[in-house]
Amino acid sequence: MKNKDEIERQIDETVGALEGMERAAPRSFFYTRLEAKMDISGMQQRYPIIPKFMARPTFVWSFLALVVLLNVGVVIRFSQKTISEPQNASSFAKEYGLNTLDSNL
Amino acid sequence: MDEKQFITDLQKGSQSAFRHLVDTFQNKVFNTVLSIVQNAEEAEDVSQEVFIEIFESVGKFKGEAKLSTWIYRIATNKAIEYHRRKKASKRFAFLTSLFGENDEIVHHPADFEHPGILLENKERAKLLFKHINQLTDNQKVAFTLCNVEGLNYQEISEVMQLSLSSVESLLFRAKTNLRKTLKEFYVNQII
Repeated sequence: MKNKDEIERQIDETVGALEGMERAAPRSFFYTRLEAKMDISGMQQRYPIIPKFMARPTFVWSFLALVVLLNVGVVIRFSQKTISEPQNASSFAKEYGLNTLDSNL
Repeated sequence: MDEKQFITDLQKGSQSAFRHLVDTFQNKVFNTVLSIVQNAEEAEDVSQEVFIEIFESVGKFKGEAKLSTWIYRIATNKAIEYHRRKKASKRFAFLTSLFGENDEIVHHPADFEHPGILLENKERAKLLFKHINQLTDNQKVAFTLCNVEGLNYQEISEVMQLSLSSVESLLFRAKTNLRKTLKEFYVNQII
């Protein structure tokens, strides 16, 4: 019982802890910092780094998908080419006279 | 200065009118945002965003509500929006904490200490703010506007665009929830 009363007293005091509080103020020169921030954001609006449509998620994801598809396409194409043309290495060596170099050694 | 004339000046883009607005409302906005965000640096950033939003959208202000009501509405919306984003980023805290101990501090900040609290109430207020943080967004806004900013029920209902009975109910539930969680805390402490 004593504990219950003590808990109730603690709760009442904690809930009432905001009584008599003063309003918090931002650091000095708030307006100057605000002005600086507004200048920066204003500049960004006037001279955007990338066009607006490029920042849209649809564009970004489509662009990424295209890049991945192109990469996959290139990998598939070149891996097939290497397998289907095994004579490439010998023709390359012949063209650059690498066989001759071997025989000289 | 007449409020209508002042609003007209703001809508015309008068720099001196905007400066006057910032000087008049910066403490109210900062105090409200700080009590919701519970971090002084973040509160200043959010307060700046509030004034940027006011500057950009004052042209749309039709004077249906009082200027202070409209400003409080923007401030509470921005603060809650920021608070939600922060909560969402905390859910991914386990990923960022992989980068070292310093990041863990960011996700487990020290208890918030409001600078305007009386010295003898500091410790209790710290505890209270911790429990206020567990309230739902609407309860938190209503409780803050009532107990931190000292707005009456009618003003809160205008800021939150809710009926008077909804505000009464929100504040009742906020106080009940606070008492409930505080009771759990004190019971555990005594045992």
